[in-house]
Amino acid sequence: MNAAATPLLELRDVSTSFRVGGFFTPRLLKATQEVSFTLDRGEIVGVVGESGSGKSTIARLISRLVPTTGGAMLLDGDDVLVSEPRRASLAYRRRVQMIFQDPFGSLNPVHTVAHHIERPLLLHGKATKENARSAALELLDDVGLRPAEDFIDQHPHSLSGGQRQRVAIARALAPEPDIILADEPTSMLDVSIRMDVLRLLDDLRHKRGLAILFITHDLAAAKHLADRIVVMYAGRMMEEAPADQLVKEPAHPYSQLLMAAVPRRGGSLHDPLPADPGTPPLVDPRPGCPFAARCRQTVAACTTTTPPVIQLGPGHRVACHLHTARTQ
Amino acid sequence: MPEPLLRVENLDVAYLAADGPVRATSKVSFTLEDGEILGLVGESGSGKSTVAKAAMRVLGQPAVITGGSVRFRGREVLRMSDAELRQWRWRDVSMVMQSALNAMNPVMTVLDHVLDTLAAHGITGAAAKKRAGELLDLVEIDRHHLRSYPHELSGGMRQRVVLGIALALTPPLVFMDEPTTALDVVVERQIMRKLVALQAELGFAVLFITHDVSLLLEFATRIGVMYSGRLVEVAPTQLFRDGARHPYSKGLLGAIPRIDSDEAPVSIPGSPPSLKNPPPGCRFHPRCADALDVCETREPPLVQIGADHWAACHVLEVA
Ligand SMILES: Nc1ncnc2c1ncn2[C@@H]1O[C@H](COP(=O)(O)OP(=O)(O)OP(=O)(O)O)[C@@H](O)[C@H]1O
Ligand SMILES: Nc1ncnc2c1ncn2[C@@H]1O[C@H](COP(=O)(O)OP(=O)(O)OP(=O)(O)O)[C@@H](O)[C@H]1O
Ligand SMILES: [Mg+2]
Ligand SMILES: [Mg+2]
Repeated sequence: MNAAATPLLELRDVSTSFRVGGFFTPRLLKATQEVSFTLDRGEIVGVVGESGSGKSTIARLISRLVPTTGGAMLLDGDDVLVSEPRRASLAYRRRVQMIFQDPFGSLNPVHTVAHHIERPLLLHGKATKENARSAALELLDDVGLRPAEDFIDQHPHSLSGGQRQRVAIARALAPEPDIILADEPTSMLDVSIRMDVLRLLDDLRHKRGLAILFITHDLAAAKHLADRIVVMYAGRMMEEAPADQLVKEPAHPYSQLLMAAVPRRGGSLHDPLPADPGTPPLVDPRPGCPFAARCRQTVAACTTTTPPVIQLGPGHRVACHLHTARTQ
Repeated sequence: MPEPLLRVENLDVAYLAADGPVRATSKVSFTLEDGEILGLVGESGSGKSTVAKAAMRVLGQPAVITGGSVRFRGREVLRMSDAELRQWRWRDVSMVMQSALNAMNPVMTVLDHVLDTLAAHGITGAAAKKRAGELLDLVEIDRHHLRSYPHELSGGMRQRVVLGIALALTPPLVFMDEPTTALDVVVERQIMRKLVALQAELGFAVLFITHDVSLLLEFATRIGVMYSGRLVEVAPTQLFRDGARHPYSKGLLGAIPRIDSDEAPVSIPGSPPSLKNPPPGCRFHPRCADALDVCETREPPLVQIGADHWAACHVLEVA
């Protein structure tokens, strides 16, 4: 493989489980199973899917906050699970930054906004004591907290949800990372500011080649911003496709359900959905496809064998027996 | 006319910061009728959470309610004694806070949380356990998670547990501050359907704060829009969708990314004003394409511009 073909980040069959249940009856909850995708310089990959399907877990795996139980994770072709097995190096932690899902829990209440942003600047040598404050002000301005002077000396409790979310984004940008794992970075922003923040991320990937994993429930935003979209359900990848294609021609029945549920002009809360309600068990999952119990297009294999991930077209992969049958 | 369930009038709230007061809400007025869902949208930082918290009187230091009134079935909430407040909160209202993702006690299981709330209302034993299971069903979470601790739940699952707890007793008034931000559109839709069905059956009223205008259009009775501490428009949902009049409301509708269109949404130019030094006149005028001279000097009041349709904009008054 030549250098140009080595993706910035590659996940190969990454799995993890959590021990749950009582002390005497420990059981394994399979939070992600065999997740594989790549993320390249300047690329934005959207991750969408059911609440509880393992999206945040993927981001936490890549940040090395939770251990993997299988698979490989390659940064510039180097399997970091092998080269840095116990914990990530400082260099890795600079290169890979995370924006956490919960802006109310991810900022430390005792510290000011200035502290939150200056700390990574200093830790990773991106500013000196003398210019850290002006660098922090600039970052606040970038994320639309204007005038930045109004915000820099505040404590998190005096900020609204959306303002905290933007502080978290500024903090992640501070060490000039190569990869940002953005876990629902704009869920508490009004649509106009949301557009501004997404445009900022888009700018950074074009100008600086920043790679972004964009976890979101906002499918329209994912369509407009992401190059590719990965769809998760019950810890497994159901589909991956170029963003436009996924939205216009979703191949997996779960992706179809997801698209059908997006609020549309003139739509009603009670418009029928193309699948049954239900939640998949992650502890002792049934054999076969995790979506089978809700799917209205099942074939016999769906309840017996896990569908393999197959290639449908360029950049388009799906794990569904309907398509396995068709391509054979 | 009988008194509405909730009447908020000219509500002013300020946060007393070291370097001067932040006027988080100014002269906010609205009513909420029994069985109604009032959606509240608006700029991030415009005072939506502050309005809900002030109306429930859960604002702490350094916030002060500097003016206005909040009446619940005609009774002044802002003058209730501590004992009356406790009783009122116990019987008549509940709230899902915006910080729900972070609201659970890390050493208590989901079941402990639900039982706590139920016990506070005299429901204990087998009846409480049964109700706990039903509440998890309501918010689409597998019952085995009754034994889970908060860190064992995903963001959306924590949010749903808190939502379930707020619905445990279905009082006549429920405040919900961005209760579904962490949910995928399918689960969100399933839960909203149940919520609306429950609400139709039991007749409680909801103040629903969200940034998801498209979702709101599908179930709210009326929609209110806030900008920089003011309520700038209130209208019935249909009317709002087809004929929002305030320039900020129109900008907001135009900024929604659409899944069924390739056109990029248009964000509103400029940035929201500082609450410490707000611009004179209409607070939106520096960003408004339609601004008149008067907009720079005089603050427009919220006035009726049509049947059940209110807006605060000089341009609309002139027209
Ligand atoms: N520390 C943990 N211990 C046990 N189970 C966990 C832990 N962290 C996550 N889980 C479980 O793993 C699954 C995936 O969780 P994750 O947070 O990745 O979901 P998600 O896709 O981000 O969901 P959401 O959209 O609701 O945020 C969930 O079923 C959750 O209960
Ligand atoms: N304790 C505080 N001290 C000083 N200012 C505060 C305090 N709490 C809130 N504010 C300010 O009051 C304003 C209103 O905050 P609020 O939380 O009500 O906004 P919001 O409309 O709910 O925003 P969001 O949509 O982002 O949640 C914000 O600009 C915020 O910075
Ligand atoms: Mg998550
Ligand atoms: Mg808020």
